[in-house]
Amino acid sequence: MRRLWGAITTPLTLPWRRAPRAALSSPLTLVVAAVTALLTCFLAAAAVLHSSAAAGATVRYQTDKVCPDAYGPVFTKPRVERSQVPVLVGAVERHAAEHGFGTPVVSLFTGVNRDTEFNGTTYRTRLAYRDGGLDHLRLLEGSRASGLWMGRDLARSEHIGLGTRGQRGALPPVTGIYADLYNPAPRYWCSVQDLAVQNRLVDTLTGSVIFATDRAAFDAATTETTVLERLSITFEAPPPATLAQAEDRVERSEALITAVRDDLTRRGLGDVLPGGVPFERSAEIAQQAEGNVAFSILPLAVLSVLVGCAGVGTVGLQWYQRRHAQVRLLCARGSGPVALGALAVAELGLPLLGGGLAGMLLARVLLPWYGPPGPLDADRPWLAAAAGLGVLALSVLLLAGVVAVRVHREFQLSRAAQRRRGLRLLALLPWELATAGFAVLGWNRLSAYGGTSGAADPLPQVDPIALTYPVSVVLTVGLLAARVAWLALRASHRVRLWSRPPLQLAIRRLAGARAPVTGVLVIGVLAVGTLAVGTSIAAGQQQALRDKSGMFVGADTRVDTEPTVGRGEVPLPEPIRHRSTVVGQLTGTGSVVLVVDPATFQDAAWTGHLPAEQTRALLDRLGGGAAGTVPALRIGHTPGQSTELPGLPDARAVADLEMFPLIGSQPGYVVSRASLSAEQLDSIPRWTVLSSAPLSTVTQAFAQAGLAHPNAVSRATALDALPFYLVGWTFSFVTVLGAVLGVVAVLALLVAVEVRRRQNALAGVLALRMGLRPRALLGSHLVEVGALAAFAVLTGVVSGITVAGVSVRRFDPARWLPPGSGLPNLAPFVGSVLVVGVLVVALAGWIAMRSVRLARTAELLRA
Amino acid sequence: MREPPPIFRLRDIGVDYRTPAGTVTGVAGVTLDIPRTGLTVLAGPSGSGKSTLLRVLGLFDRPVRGELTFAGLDTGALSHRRRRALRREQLGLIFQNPADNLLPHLTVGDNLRAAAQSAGHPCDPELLLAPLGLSGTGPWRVPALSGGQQQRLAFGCALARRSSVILADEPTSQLDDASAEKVLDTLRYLVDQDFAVLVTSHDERLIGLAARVARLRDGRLEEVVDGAGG
Repeated sequence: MRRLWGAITTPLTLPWRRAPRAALSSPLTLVVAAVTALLTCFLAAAAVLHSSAAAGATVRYQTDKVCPDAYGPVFTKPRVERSQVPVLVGAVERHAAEHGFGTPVVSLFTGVNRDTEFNGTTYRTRLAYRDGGLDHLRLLEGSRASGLWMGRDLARSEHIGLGTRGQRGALPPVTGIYADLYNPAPRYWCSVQDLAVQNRLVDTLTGSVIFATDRAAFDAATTETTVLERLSITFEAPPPATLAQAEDRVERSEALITAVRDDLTRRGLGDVLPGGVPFERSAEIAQQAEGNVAFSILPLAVLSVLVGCAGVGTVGLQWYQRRHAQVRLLCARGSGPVALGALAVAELGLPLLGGGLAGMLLARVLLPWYGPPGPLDADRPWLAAAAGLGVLALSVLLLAGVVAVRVHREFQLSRAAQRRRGLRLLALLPWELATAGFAVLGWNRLSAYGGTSGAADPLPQVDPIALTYPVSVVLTVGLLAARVAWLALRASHRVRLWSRPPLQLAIRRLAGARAPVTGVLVIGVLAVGTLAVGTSIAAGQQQALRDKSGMFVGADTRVDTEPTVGRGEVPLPEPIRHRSTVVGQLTGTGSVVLVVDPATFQDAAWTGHLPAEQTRALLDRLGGGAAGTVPALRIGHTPGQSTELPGLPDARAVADLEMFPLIGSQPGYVVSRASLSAEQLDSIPRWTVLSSAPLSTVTQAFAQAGLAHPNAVSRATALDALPFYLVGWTFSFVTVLGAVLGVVAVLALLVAVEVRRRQNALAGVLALRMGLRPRALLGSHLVEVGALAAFAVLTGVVSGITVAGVSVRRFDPARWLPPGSGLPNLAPFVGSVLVVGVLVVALAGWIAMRSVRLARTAELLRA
Repeated sequence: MREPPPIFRLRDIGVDYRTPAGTVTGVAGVTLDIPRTGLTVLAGPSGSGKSTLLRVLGLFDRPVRGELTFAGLDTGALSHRRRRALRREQLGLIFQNPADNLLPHLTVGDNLRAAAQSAGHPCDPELLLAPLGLSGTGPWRVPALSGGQQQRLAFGCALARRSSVILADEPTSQLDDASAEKVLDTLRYLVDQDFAVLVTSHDERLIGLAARVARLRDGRLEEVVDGAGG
């Protein structure tokens, strides 16, 4: 009881009550405590937010890949009897509301009727109706009065005017002329694009789609039709923004499908209306992405939080040293370890709390800058806050614990007590072997990393151990560096450099602070190394996606075109003429042959892997040609590559390239169309237009020119970018972690110098009195801190870049497609690290010299 | 008349330190009684073991050999909590550096209040400050006091805590003569108030005040002289 009373009353006494104000006497400690808590809580909260944002970003990415009316349930009945439609639609309508869905969008299409009569002539047409569809068609003429809307191409070419009734008056009148839908059609039509967009490849009138303005008009127009081509029932709803919303949508969709099936079964119709949830797979992928990223960053996050906790422990030790006299006084007055731990918390608790809360807030606010570009589930900020508060509570306990243990050891255990050998043994354990083993394991797992990405499973199968491989290597290097430094400093007493006092003093100071020096070194190497790894691999993935897409598509947009365009008989449509080039392709002798127009190729095609001047020079070399040969760029040369080109003169290689747009790294040749005769151009079977214009501009231009344009591909969507994003997101967190560790390393270095202020001042003053010049003393401090910083930066940069260079190709989720992932330009990164390093060294030197300048020698000596 | 039992009873006390070079003996075979009242001085040159012995008497260190009783209580068997309770309720420790005996962020008055609170007593600072020659300094901040004033305030804190025993480690060594003289006045005052005061010192003026002087050399008790200042 008395003990409890003591625990309650002690914090009410003056030293504890006034502790927060006492903390103001050392602003540096306050700042360090706040910043340490800030960084630790930032990392804990950021890890949770980062994973959730990855899920949100995946959901967002997937919503672009799924039709906008397919985020909910999709009921599709092909070859449906017209008489069944009201029953099927009614069943869906009855159950939609109870599962949170609004009014369904009903789409009805007939098959192509080959002899629809208008004005005495028959045409191939399809009758269609879609709820709300008129809002997404551009009316050129007429009104929304009940009847039929006819496409402009058919109506204008055949002079079918408003009011015309087809099928000898049996059809409702034409009340509107709309702009035909061309591929790619607006996204609204995505789920019924195959039926709503007319096929104009062969005949402009073939498959013209006639829309009924309302259900009644559609029913009136299809009285003779017993079986419709397709009934589709979907729901318009905003896309789910987060994983939780997506999962909820999928869950409700499945429930609705089950309810409709049961309803129809009860009515004796059985399972006649198949339902599906196209977005289900997207939700699964998003869930997988969140799990992948979370698992990948978890070990790193835990490691960094532990580093942060070590920082809080160091703050506790520093507080203990600074307040030693007061701690001893209070011990002499009967205060115990717990009470003195509480005193440390009373003094540093507010900065810890403030820093921790600021860290959590920063993690949330800065998420758009460091995290994946996705929204968060509603509960995730709370989860992140819980993680942050947990770490904060741990930090507070750690602070109190460190102080309490020190008090116990110093004031309760006898000085003659056994020295602790446990810590010494821990230091002797070869921890670097464990991390090296982990790195080897990760390297082996990494070999299979990129092989699992495919259309069915677009995400790389995550392997957290594989993803932590680069950091394991950096950690191993850091620990090795620390051991080397530890042993070197231990042996440094043998060094005799008194002929150069600044250097000798620097070595002795380093040796005298072996533990903090080693700690700063490990954190510094880890910081610079992880920054190098994170920056390199994340940027490498972005670059790889850009390059691979460019190489695969050949330009921003690619469409196949007619031979007349290829041969130059028909010019390219005016809107894209100056941004496009025509390329012929043929195969047959083991090589892909690309026939290019050197005059326009460089401006339209993607040549990002080559410098512009080099591309120009290479294309210029394709001109001319000796008898019987054609100058060619040889691509992906193999020993058995033939120089024979199918139907063309033999190739004469004027240059070798590893890869080329469209061809990739396959064996192939690039020749100039100017080197070929008209007959030779005639023999080219496939012509492709490469353009730097957007896909919609290109297809619209071709459609308006009445030119076929199949196989349209855009660089932006040609590849599934998600696997690249996933690796990028994971390593962007590694970058954040490296940045945070960097701040910790810098702070630790500065605090270590500041904590030593008294020793520095005394030693410095004495050295100056013994004749050392101030400049030499400053040089000594710069050598000391500079050596440490240089060792950390050099080791970190070399190990980080090396391991990133070695592993970046293994993280490539599409290794089958050249070019392989590579390191980005690292000069800005290395330059930035060097500049920061120099600034930190200069600041540390200034702090050390300031303590000497301001020292009052007599007081120092007396103390 | 029968002499009251000693407040501290030391029997063959020994203290060792572990150093990288091996075990070093700090104090060995010290047998001594500290009277319940009056000034006792532990004298001796630097390194003789005075401060080590004071740490043992302050219940910070446990001797590795011998027996130490405090007010008849065998301290060797006491738990950490009981030792803290004894420090809180019975002992007042004064360290060598005046500033180390005070909480610098509190005023003079608050230092006395904090000391009293630590032992669970009420306190009127002005009543305590007057006999110490520090009247009117209650609202002052500690750094505004001179070294001697700070040291006297430290003894005032022990008074505020109503400690029965005051242990002081060379209380005059960092003071000039005038300040040291005032500290000696304070010690006289404490002796007059029937406190048991134990001081380590090689200040001959202070030794002159002592009722008992125990001289240490190389960790061993060289001699005990009674009645010098008694």
